[in-house]
Amino acid sequence: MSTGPASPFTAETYQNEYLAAGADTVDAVVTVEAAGDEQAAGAAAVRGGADRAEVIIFDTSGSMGTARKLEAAKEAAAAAVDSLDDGVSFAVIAGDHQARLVWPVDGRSFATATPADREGAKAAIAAAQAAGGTAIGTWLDLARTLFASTTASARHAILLTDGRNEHQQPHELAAAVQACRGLFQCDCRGVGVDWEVEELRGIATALLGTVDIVADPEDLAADFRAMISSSQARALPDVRLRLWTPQGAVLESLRQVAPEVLDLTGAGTPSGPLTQDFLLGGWAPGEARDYHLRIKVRPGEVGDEMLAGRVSLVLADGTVATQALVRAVWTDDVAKSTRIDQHVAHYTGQVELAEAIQEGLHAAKAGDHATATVKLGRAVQLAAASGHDETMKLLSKVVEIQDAERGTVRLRPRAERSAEMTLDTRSTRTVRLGRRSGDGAPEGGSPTPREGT
Amino acid sequence: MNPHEARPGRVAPADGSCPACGEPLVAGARFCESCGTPTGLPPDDVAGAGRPDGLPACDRCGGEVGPDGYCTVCGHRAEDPVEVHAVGPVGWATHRGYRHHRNEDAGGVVRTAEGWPVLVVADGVSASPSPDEASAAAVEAVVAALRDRPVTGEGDLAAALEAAHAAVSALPHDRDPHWPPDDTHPACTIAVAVAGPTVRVANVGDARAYLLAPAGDGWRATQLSSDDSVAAAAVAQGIDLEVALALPGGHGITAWLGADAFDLDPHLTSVDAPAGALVLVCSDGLWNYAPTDEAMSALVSAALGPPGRPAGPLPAICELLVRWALDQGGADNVTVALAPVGDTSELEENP
Repeated sequence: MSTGPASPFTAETYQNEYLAAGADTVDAVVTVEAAGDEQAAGAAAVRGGADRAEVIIFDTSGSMGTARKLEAAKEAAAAAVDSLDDGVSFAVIAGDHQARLVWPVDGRSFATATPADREGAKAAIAAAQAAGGTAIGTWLDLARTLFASTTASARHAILLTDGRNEHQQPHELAAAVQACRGLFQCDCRGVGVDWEVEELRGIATALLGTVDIVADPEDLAADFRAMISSSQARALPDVRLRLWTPQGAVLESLRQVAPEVLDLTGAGTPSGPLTQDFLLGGWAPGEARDYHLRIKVRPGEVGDEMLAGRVSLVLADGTVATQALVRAVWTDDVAKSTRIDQHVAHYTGQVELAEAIQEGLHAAKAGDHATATVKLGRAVQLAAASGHDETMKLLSKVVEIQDAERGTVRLRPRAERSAEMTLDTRSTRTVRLGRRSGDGAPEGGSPTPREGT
Repeated sequence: MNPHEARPGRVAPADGSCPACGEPLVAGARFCESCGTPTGLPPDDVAGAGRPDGLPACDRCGGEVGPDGYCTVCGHRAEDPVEVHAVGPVGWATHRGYRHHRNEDAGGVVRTAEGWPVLVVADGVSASPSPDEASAAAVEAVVAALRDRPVTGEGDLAAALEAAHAAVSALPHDRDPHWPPDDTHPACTIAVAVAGPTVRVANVGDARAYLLAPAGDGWRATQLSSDDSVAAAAVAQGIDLEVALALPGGHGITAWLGADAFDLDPHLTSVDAPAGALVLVCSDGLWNYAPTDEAMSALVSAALGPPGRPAGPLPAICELLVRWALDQGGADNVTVALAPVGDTSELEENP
């Protein structure tokens, strides 16, 4: 299904296309890889530093004044400024119950990463004081105003907070996030343990960014440098996934399932009578992401073949870079229709793993220890089965694992809050399954009579 | 483009909304775009009619069929035409049928050094990876072994099947995207007939060769090949063929070409043909609907018309027989080849 070496993307479908008579649900995993060679990106690629805009948003609410958080945040913001490639447009926002543009301060929307502007920005950052409340929506509103004024094709922000969105109604934040969608990508970080995982995850998911906890303020600077570096590696801005489905079909779900779970189901916007586009944000050369689709179609007759979905990767300039087909073939051969594709099975398990962790932690927080034990036990079982060592390590800080294979666990009575929040924020990270070659162990062939010539 | 906008002259139901979900309907739509409920509009002018814009039309919904063979509106894969090969007076025809998503049969026609037609039909084993490649490789090997070569006895056919077996066995077993990685290897059945004055037949599995002899106003079909099948084993014990085929696993085969096969032991037969006889080679996609010699005799008599007054050229008769099998349900890929016995006319594939 690839379009050859010159294309910036390749896509491949993994599915069991065979359905029993009357069956109407088509599952498939589509793996997408960006070419390792930056040249392949062609005309749609980011054209140097001048074509990139970065906004650094850090929390200066009163609570940041404790535990050296503000000092660490200022150092991190300064480190981010230093990490910018020469010529990148950038701005720095300090946020409490309102947003303040820290740099530039001369009426421009964006400064340019030059020695003078870098020094000016760092001095302004250093002067920030901790005071006031937290209204994250106002920070996003200001960032949106800035990004709306730039023609840079790559637009990215970092948002750091240590608390909940207390000085704003949830619907105000939701509206602010919605207005930013598609305008810029935003990586979100929570420092300390007094912020809300769900809240930051909601922002990061809608704005196609990552979410993580930085429990120790001393780790912030390294993390900011890493975020700027990943952002600047994204040579292909504003990639979209276009999904065609046949008339009468319903997209039951579309999730990014690797490198982490991201539910895209309701996020599509119509781009034609039978197509919808999903924003994927920027891609770095060599990057790989996997998507799980579930499409409900009108069942065909035995022997019918239907195209249940066509996945296209669309570049910022509208070029279709590659396509992958999701098919449905109705058969009365039970051996074929009952087979489960191992990619679909694997990622179904990974999504269940993320859900089990989130539901388990939610139950624990609500004092429902029975449900928490069952859910986190199931998570341990799924992590063990898929070899997800990283999640297993995080789980073991929250539960005592007695039998990983059976999922027998006991809640740790005094688990650290930061351990629970780390497990929660990283619950969506998945392990990726290998490519088709080398998959699966060979089975013995049997010289018995064979059906179906 | 909204396909319905390009199709004037249709009206939506009176109130213009879906009876199931209440969403407004696109004028002329046969299905609700929201929930997929049929609107009750008939597929009127769609079947085979082509579209007003000249693009190929889907035989289900009338939408435009895209270059990849799928309807751009309903996703249905367009029906394939019967593939007909006319090689002078000799020919063969094939179709994937209605229940298989690809054609795993292969066929071929060549001449021996004596000028006699050679008919080859191979049928890929669906319960193996890359069965389409298996049958294609087998036919290619037989064609190479017999083309312009003298055929003096059954040993020449046995050698051709040895070559086919080796070709199928050499195929990689791990490049079928529709087959999970395992230890099964590509496999196929095959039947070969040399239509000289002495008809010589070799087969492995359940592809068949028949001698068709004039008999009064019709034709008498005699199966020359021997099935390697569970049913054939039951028949050997005295059970009626039609009963045997209905047994569980009755259609299972007990021999095939490919790396998983037991020692190759093809059935070899020779018979002197009467004047005016024909040879027919086919996959089980045809003979499953006419399993006995009596049923096949009736079928070919109807298709060919009386001896001496042929109903049409043999390639067209092959197509007719394939279409008949499709009309019976098309449960399998179907391939039919026909040649006049002893014919030595020049062979050029007609366009």
